Amino acid sequence: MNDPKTIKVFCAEQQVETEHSIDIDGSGEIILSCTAEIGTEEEPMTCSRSLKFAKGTDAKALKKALAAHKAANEGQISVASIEAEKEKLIAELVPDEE
Amino acid sequence: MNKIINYIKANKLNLSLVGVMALFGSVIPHGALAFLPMIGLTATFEFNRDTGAATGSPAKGTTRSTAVTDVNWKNTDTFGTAYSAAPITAGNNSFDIWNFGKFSGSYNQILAGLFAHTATAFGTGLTLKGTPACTGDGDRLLYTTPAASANANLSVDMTSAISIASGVAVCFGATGPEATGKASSTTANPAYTNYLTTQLQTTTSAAPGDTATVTLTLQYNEN
Repeated sequence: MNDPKTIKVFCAEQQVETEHSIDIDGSGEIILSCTAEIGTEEEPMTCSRSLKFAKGTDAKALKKALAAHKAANEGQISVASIEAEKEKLIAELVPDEE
Repeated sequence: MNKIINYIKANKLNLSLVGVMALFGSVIPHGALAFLPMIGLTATFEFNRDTGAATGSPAKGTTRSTAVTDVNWKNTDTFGTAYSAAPITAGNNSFDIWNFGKFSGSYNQILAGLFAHTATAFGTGLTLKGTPACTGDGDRLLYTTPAASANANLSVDMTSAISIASGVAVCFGATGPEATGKASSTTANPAYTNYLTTQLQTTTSAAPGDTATVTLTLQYNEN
């Protein structure tokens, strides 16, 4: 069986281009889902952030929409990433108790 | 088997008032909302919403509702319908919601608008799409009759809570969100933002039941 096809799409959650699976749902809408592996070895997880496009969107329109998507979402600073950065900084600044 | 989902019990449109009051040439540090007894400049703000078929030129909604305090994404465009009465089937999308801000009262200028999802995560299978950045008439979102099909014009992925500083630019102008004459600042009174349109898109992995209550923030400066 062939491996599912994927395309590189900018993931707003990961803030980089990642491989996205392609599907068409029962309504005919195109769904692109991020397949980036996140989480840990003990608790593996897939990003799964998805994008949807209306039924009938052809390849040309989809490429244009994906370019607009990247331009619109690149540079987002999530609350989660701010918190993670803060935790890291505190961990590096605050000495461990002896 | 389809899963039925209700969602967003009370998605709050929080008005994050980061008021920078420039008075007599002096600028009060960002983040402080100063009380100015002599002038008493205070803009009055409310969210409004357009629903119904697109009408007029530039197009706007047939119905304009005022004093909107929440956003409940649901399987209908009707403002008064409870979200519980119009749940979204997992795999489908909400009707897009055409909110906007309205300013009145006393002020000199409204400027530096930003719009973002700023608090609380959505669950698996939920994607919030929103209006692109608006810097003027050329890139303001034009009203279309709300529908549940995925709105390709909503290019911003608002699913993750982000810092308001990362929010999309909002523009302002007179007459209404649909009107031309939008810019990054306005002295018009009343004044309106561009449409702050959102749509909740779901996949079949979305869990049934209400979603978490999230916060969408509109931040602006006034002087």
